[in-house]
Amino acid sequence: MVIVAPLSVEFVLVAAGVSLLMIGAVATLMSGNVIKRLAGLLVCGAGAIASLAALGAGDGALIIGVALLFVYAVLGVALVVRLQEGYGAIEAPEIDAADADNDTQERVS
Amino acid sequence: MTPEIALFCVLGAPVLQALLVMLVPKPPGLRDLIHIGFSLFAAICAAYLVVAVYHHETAYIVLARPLPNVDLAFEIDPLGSMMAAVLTGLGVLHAVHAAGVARAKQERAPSRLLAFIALAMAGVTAVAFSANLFSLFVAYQALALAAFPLVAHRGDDEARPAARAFLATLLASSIGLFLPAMIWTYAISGTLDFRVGGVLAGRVDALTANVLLVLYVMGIAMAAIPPMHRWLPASSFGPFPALVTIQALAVLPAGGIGVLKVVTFVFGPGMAEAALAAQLLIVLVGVGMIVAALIALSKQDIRERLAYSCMAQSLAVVMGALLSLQPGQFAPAGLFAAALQIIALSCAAATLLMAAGTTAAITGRTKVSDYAGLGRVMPWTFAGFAIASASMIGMPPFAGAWAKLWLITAAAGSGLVWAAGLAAAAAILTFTHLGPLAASALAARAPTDAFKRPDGASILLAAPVILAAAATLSLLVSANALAEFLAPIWTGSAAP
Amino acid sequence: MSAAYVDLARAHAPLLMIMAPLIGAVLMLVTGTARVSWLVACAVAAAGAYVAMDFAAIVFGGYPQPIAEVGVSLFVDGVGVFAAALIAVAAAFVVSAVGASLKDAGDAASPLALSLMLCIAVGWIGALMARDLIAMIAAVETAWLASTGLVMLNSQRDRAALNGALRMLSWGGVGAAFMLVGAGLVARATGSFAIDVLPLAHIRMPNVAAAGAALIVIGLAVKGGVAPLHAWIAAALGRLGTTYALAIGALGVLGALSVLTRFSAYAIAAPEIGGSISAALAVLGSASVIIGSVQAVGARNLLRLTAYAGASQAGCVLLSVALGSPAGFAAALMQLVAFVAAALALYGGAAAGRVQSLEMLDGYGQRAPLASAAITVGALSLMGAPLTIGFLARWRLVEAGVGAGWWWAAGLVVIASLAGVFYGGRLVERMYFRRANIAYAGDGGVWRVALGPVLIVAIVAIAVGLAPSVLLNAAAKASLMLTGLAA
Repeated sequence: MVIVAPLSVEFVLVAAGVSLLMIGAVATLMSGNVIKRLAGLLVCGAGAIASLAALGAGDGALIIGVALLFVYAVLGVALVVRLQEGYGAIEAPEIDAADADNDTQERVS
Repeated sequence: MTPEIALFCVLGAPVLQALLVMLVPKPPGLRDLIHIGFSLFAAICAAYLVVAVYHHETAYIVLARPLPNVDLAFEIDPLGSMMAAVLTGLGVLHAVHAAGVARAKQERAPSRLLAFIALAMAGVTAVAFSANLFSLFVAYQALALAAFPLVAHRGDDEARPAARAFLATLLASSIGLFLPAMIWTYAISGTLDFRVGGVLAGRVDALTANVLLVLYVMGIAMAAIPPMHRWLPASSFGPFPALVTIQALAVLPAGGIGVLKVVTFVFGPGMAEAALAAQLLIVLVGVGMIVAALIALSKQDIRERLAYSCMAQSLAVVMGALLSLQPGQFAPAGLFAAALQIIALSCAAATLLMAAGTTAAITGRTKVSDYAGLGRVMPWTFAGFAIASASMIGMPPFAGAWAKLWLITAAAGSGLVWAAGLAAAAAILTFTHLGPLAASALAARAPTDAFKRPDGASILLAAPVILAAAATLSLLVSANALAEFLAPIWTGSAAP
Repeated sequence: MSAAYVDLARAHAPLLMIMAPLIGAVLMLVTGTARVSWLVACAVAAAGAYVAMDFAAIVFGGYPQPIAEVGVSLFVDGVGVFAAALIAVAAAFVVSAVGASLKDAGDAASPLALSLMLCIAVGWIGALMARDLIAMIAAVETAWLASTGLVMLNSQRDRAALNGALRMLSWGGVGAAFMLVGAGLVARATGSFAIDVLPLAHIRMPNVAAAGAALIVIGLAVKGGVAPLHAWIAAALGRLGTTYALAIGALGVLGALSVLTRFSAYAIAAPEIGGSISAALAVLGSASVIIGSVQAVGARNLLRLTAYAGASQAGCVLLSVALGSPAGFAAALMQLVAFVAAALALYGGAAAGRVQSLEMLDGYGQRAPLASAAITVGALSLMGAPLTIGFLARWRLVEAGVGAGWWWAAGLVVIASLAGVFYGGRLVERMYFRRANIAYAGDGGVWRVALGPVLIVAIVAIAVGLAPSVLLNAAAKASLMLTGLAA
């Protein structure tokens, strides 16, 4: 019983972290809105860091994880701003449609 | 000159020829001189190699070693040297004729045309002299790539899809079928080298042998076996010099040589394990010959008619090679029939296509119905046309007759009398699509408005046709000597 | 005296291979003008390539050199040395090719672009030398984020690059998260983050370790453009243009596949999890070959066609690794060489004329002979035409596969080659047998020659298929050196 209990807590924490990761991943890859994608990415990253922590990874690993998450967040915000400036939209379908139009126009010309 | 140097020259001279022709497009006289001169040099080297083989000399050159047990190697042997000599010899005539046609028709990009003709000749020579399956595969692919620009030469809306079909069929079949068969052979035998008696002899069970045979035969699509024959009618959109190269001197003969080499040196004569697949393929090939001859009859454009006629003749080569896999003492007869048929096909097809090219250049006529009476105003050209037609039909004393005779002998001797029947039926149908055509050209009233060019056919256009036609008589006197010369490939003993 | 410095440099070669481009990347930020920064970048990249090639020659030439312990956790093995040398050389040529298109990015952005390219090289080389999984992931993400930044930088020329960057960020981020969790799971199961411990450790929880290794493989496969995880590649590369596609499509994908090969080699060598990792790689590789080939046949954009063909090639790499034998790993390394040669040829050839759509290739043979020759040779290599490096690499895969009884691998190679015939043949036909229907849009001026080296090298690399013994020996030795080079 004593042996099982810590394993169970660890398992639950890891499972929670992985669930967060998967939810974030789905949101990142499926959302139409770019801001939601970014949010999903941050949730995904947070889930990964949480899982790492639950698995007993050392400080080094966690610091690397947090650093990566930070960089992704910064880049993501910059990208959202640039997309708004460039396309006037932050919905992925609209952006894809605008690119497809440009592709067609180039082919015709 | 040693055999090694001659072998190197016969392979390398056409490549150098192509480069020089591209670099020296003008004046046209110099370009044509280079083209004809190098063709002659290659033919002389090939003839030298025949003599060398006759005197039991050997030559083996390795150009590259891409894999540990696999060389890109070429060697002289009776079969390869004989084929190379015939093809390069005819190539000299074709070089003269191509120069003439290019001038007469003001052909577009003549340097490019002549350069790729030379590269295609290099490819077929490499196929003939290949020392192992890998070298055969490389030469085969190189030939397909070299011949592709010939089909695409005109660059118009007809030529482009035709060229795509040409390349796609040849490369796809070689990569999809021939290459797996090659890999399988390597896995079984540990080598890709050609061996008299067959590298697979005694190493494979019946299922493996049958499957491998189908893969090889279908993979060598240059032999125009249905359904891998699409490239042949597609190629008929090229200019006439290209057609001679593709259908008479390079691509189609390379297919026959490839099948012959695979059957002889990979399977070995009389390999009973592969007999079932061989018989099924003989049925396919026999039916293909008949259908091709029938389709030829329906075609009104001379290029398409001759393409299907050549296809029927090429399938006779394959039939001969497959007959050699039947167990029994007549196995070598099948090999000999196939070898004779390649020679006969090259001579006759070259003559017919050059004659058609001369006709198109001088009169602008490419429809079969417009050929009536042209023999009266172009007697030499159509004499050659008639002789070549007789050879294709299999009428003695022309080369085709000897080839058909041995084919029927091999079929009957192997107990496959029905195969002989199929070959005979195809010969009759060949008569129907070539015989009346030749007769009408010679016998009908001469047209009054025949010539597009006021001076008629120049010597450059007429002489090669006649000389190639004369070559169709060669087997009349040389058949026995040829049999003795080629005997080592099925007996394993040294050449006489 | 100088010999002592040379020995010192050689003892620190792995570190130098990472530091040289890193220093170069920093220098870019202070050099100012575009041309000067390009020259400095070329010098630095060339130095890094020289160090890498020298190190590889020493290692595979049978003269093992002691490697200095410097407090940075480097672990140098055969695959790492081979692939790092390949990346360093490719980076040198990619950076040199940028000189032809500096006007595109403008004076302000060019140094930043060069810096990012050097960071890409640093990241992937660092990942190939990393001792532990976390360091490897950090290096991988350095390279990936630099790639994303490079794509974003191109948005000044075409806003579609932002869409590509968005997809790279999304997919790459998810991949990074997967890799982090995977590293944690592997460490939990083996007791260590160290890569070289994997084959030797007594794995108490094989399922956990296998799951972790699989997550790392997936994360790397995303970055390597392996189908069906390559949704980012079309948007990122399709409108990227000029030489940036070289950096992302050739260098970036090469790096990811190299790291994937190295990690998988260790994972497969672990007896408890090797079978399942091998099976996963085989499935993924097969899918990538088929999907990539089909997409390449249907592509109408040259850059996307090359990317999809790369996915097919990546599949062949995974199949080679999945075999789990030294012959398989050697075949994987040969596939990497074939991949980067073909990618440099095709992307470089496209960059010469700013070709994007296939229609722009019409008549290219007359307008840009060297570039067309490079594209032709690249297409032949993708077809697996004999005597090209592509044929050699595929033959090695088939040989290794048949030896292991994987006949279906030979079938997949045939499929990849057949597809190559179709899409490669299309390129050749357009370039040489159609008349140009648009004006040539390539860069003029003397700086255009900067593209020359990458095209020539690509042609030569593909022609290595004629005499490949040096490369074959190096790959064979590299595949046997998984236990690392002793310090």
